[in-house]
Amino acid sequence: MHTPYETYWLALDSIDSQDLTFRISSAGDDESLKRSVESLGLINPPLVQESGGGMHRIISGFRRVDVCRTLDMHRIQVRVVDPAIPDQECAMLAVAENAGQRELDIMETSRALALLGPGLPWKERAGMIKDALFLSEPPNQRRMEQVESLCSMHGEILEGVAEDSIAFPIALKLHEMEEAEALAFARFFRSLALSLGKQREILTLAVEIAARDDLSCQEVLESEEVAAILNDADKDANQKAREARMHLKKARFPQITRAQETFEAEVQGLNLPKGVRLDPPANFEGQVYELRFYFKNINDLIKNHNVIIEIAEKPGLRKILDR
Amino acid sequence: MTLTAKNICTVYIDQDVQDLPNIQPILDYFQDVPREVVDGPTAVFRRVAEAADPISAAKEILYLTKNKGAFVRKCPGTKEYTCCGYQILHIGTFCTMDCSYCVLQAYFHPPALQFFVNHEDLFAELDQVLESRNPEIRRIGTGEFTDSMIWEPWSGLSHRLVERFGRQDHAVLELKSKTVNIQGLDKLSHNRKTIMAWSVNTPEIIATQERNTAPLHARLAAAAKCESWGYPLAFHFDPMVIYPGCEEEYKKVVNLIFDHVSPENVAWISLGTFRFMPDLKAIIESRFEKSKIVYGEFITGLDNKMRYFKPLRIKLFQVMAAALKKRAPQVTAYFCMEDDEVWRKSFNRTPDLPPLLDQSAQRVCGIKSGS
Ligand code: SF4
Repeated sequence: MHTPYETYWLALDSIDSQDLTFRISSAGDDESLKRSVESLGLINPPLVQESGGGMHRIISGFRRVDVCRTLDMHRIQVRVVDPAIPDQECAMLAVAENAGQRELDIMETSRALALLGPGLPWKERAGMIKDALFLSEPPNQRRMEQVESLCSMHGEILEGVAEDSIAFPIALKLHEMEEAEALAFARFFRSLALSLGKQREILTLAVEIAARDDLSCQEVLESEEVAAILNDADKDANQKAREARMHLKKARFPQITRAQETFEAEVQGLNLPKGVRLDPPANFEGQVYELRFYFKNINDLIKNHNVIIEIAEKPGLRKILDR
Repeated sequence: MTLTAKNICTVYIDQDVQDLPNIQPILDYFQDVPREVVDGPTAVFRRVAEAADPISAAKEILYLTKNKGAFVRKCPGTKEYTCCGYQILHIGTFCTMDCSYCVLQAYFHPPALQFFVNHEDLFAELDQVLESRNPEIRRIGTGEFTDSMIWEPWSGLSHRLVERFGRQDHAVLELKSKTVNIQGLDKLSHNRKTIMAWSVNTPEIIATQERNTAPLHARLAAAAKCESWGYPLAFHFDPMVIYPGCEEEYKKVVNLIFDHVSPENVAWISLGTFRFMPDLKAIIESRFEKSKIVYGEFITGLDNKMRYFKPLRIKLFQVMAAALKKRAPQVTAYFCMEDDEVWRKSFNRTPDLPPLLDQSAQRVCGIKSGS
């Protein structure tokens, strides 16, 4: 695509910064941009199009125009495209200009995708996306649609994604929920630093507790017990996350967690020597227990042999095995 | 729910079976339903797979075809749990009823309501199996990949099967259902070699999880009717679902059964708690939004299926064992896919299951012992 434009000087007052139709860029480091404009001027003039009444809308260069305003400049050099150029072509220009300058972050990619052929059949859109984003492979429809949905998400979820406290796959799930529920999760995740796996686990636990007990997820996540954990000033984020997870796990699987706790207490009661470990059958389903110890040489092994005999004679072990 | 012309939107007929002698009466029955002759299952599978909800769509598309494999197959047990040594008579697949927990939803990809019409092949194989008097084949059932009785009003298959089993004394046929389609069974020469079996559950589970099935009282009334026609009976508490108050409810079902039928005519009662392939969970969540059954305390079992935490299963089984002992001590009760520990803690014994059930069939149905 080669769109002709003319370069000339334009009064900043005739550039409409309120028209955000083609805005793609996320907030960036305006200070360094400012320093660069101060010392070198605008190396890459913004791209604009006349929008009527002597005004111009920005296609690419929103941050540059903002910086020029803060520097009290009155006139800047711009590239002006023909007013007859349709919106879809302007959108392609906006995306290509941004993608050509830097790697777009996930929010910028989302805004870019929303600009490229919304409502058109996927086949047509795929070509536009590939060209405008300079992709080497045809884009994956499901992935692109997921990324695109980001920019219609609630602000709190977006902030969570931007600050990395809400993982992208989790944000997608929240986006499908009712707003109040989604926001309860968003606040919960933003208050703790959790890996994707843990976010996923908490989401599943809370959704399932809510479904089982006829509660909303909000009620589960904002229960007194959870609030007490999250508001405990003596605990750091890791401790809070661990305890909140444990609390939800217990609420979701009360009998299983009780059995695990009982088993651990009973094993503790056996006073096993250091380095010896007793594990229950996986999920308490099978009937095979595992006793683990380490040895370096024959003497160690013989010592462990005696330890095994001692353990086998403990009444506590019988109690465990007769569960 | 019976498979009738009213609930089928298209009948597909495999070109290989269109000239079979038993196809015409079936087509006469479905005369007002659009039909299409197809060259293999691809068109049927495509139509099902393209639907927004392929599982629901498959319940309305009947595919009359040929079983190209074995009709009599060993029930796929697993070595980790005690298996009952059942044989499946493979008459068709899938079902018109719609139970949230139905394993068939995740078993077939995509699901298809297939009815195998090459009955001459079926009976030839069955003759061979029955005549061989194989001691490992004493109990054969049609209700594993489908419900035994949904095909009743038009297929005529049960009639032929019941009478075929009635002419031998080596094995029993079990017809298992959640319907009450028993009209065709009266006056057949069954010779007590067909066991009429019903899956039973609490009224709450039937109402909330078993769409389009007959209510409990209707199933038990049908069982009583079959008993009056001389048929031996069986009941399957499977899947038992754990929910608040379930123990009392399941005990009531035990009592209700024996308010309707006499224990001497019951060949066996099986007990099995809800277990499922992990893939089924998402299907249940999306197709049965109000169902809570997947939110129990499940663990991954030794066969990689999800099953209730063992102490919870044992607790419910102990209640059932006591209720059965009190009300019908002579009836053989057994667990479907449980291990020694569960048997010991619930029934105080660890049996050799296949012979136990064979003996029951000898006692209640009169099959001959030995080979
Ligand atoms: S009756 Fe049986 S086969 Fe039919 S849907 Fe229910 S569980 Fe599945």
